[in-house]
Amino acid sequence: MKRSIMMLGLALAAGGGALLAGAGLRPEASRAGAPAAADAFTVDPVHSSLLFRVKHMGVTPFWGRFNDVKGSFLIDPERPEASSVDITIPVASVDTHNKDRDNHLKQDVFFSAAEFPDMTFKSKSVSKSGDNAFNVAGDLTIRGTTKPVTVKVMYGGTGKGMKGGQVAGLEGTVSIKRSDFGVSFMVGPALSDEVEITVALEGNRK
Amino acid sequence: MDPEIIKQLSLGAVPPGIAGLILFGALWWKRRGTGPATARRVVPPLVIAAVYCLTHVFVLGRPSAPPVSASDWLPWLVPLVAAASLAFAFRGPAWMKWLGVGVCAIVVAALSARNFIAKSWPPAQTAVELGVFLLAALAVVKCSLRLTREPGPLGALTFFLFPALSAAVLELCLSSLRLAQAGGVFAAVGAGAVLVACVRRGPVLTAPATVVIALSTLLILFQGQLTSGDRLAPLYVLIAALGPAVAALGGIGPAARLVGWKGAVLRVGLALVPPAIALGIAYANREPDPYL
Repeated sequence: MKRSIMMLGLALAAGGGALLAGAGLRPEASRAGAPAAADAFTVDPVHSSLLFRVKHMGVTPFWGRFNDVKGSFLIDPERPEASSVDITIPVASVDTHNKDRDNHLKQDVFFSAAEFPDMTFKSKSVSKSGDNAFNVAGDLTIRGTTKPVTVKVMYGGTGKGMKGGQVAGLEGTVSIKRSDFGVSFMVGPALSDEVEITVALEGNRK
Repeated sequence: MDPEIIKQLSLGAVPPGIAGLILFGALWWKRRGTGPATARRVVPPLVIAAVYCLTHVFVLGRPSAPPVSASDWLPWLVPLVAAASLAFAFRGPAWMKWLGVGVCAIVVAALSARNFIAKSWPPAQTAVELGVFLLAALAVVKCSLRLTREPGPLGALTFFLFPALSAAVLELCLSSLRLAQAGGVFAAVGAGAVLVACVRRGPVLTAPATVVIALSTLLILFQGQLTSGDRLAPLYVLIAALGPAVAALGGIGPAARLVGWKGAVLRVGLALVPPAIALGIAYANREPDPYL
């Protein structure tokens, strides 16, 4: 059982890496010098998701998630350079529907949650790549290691929120190698190095 | 058991065990019938550090430079501990040797806890953590030296149980396979010394070799405490660190008068007590998994 848990943990770790990559969606609006914090949407963790996918035993895609996402984002279709994403994901919120595996993922062999409690993504530049599609380049930090990644984002636009404010949504995907971030335990057939991260953010603005 | 896990565990235990057997066997063969040589004291800690670093690369991955997490520091800190242990290879005032151990202990603990010291520990907690580690290091090394000074296999065996059972505590109490494997490397090397001690007279593990194994094992336990996140982690580590001291009790007072198999059972039993308590506490506090 322990072994399978570990394998799952590895998969989760890989997934976690992907999630982190997803976290990388956080923009850096203020850095771009535009609208900045006042115009940014605050991430609503209840309606946002961060999923990761890693291949287990070389054959099975395994999905996990992080249940807590914090931060803010702003996508300006007219002025992509004014857009930004800034996300923080508490590692302790990892959820792979197995408590033992979740605990294993928090250990030093994977995310070392006590030492590195958060994963972050801070955008550095945003460029338009199509209709409502953007490339968000930024720094993804996992387990204390920061690497540049580019997240492909589909912007969902804005709308009226249930509480009267304004809401905005986006979905981003990115693929990373978990070993690049020091999460290299059991990289191989048992648990792939490649982790795909999907992040879906809903933000609120009053 | 998963084949990948078996492979990982084997790589972390078999080559270091063979290396330990060759190391201590060769040193014994070369010096049989002669007095201790400087090489016999200088070579083991250096070889042990080299074996650890090689095993770390093959089992735990290439060391990151610069190190990021606590365990990333191990391939850098174990050679540092080995260098400090060399003070015991030469004649000199005892206070200088222990000063070297103390300074080394503070340095390796501070580097291991670098992220915590920089981000989350207030100065008072940093002082307490490093101070406790320093005292524990001095006590563990002192008791370990007492154990390995004994001729015959019993001293080496009871000392070997410290890294071996610390690895079990790291895996089962602190849930760190990574650090458990690191501790397992030292246990495997120590196992080689135990085997050689079964066939030769006099102590097998020299003082420097004892220092590098004892202090490195304690450092790994400390890192396990740092990265565990379990509220009972300090308790587990404290209990595990008592291993050499409790084992040494078998060599003093009335217990020392027990000889033969009775003495052996007592000594080994004492060495098993601290980790058994730690494992028992962990078992009693385990949380049921609703998914299994």
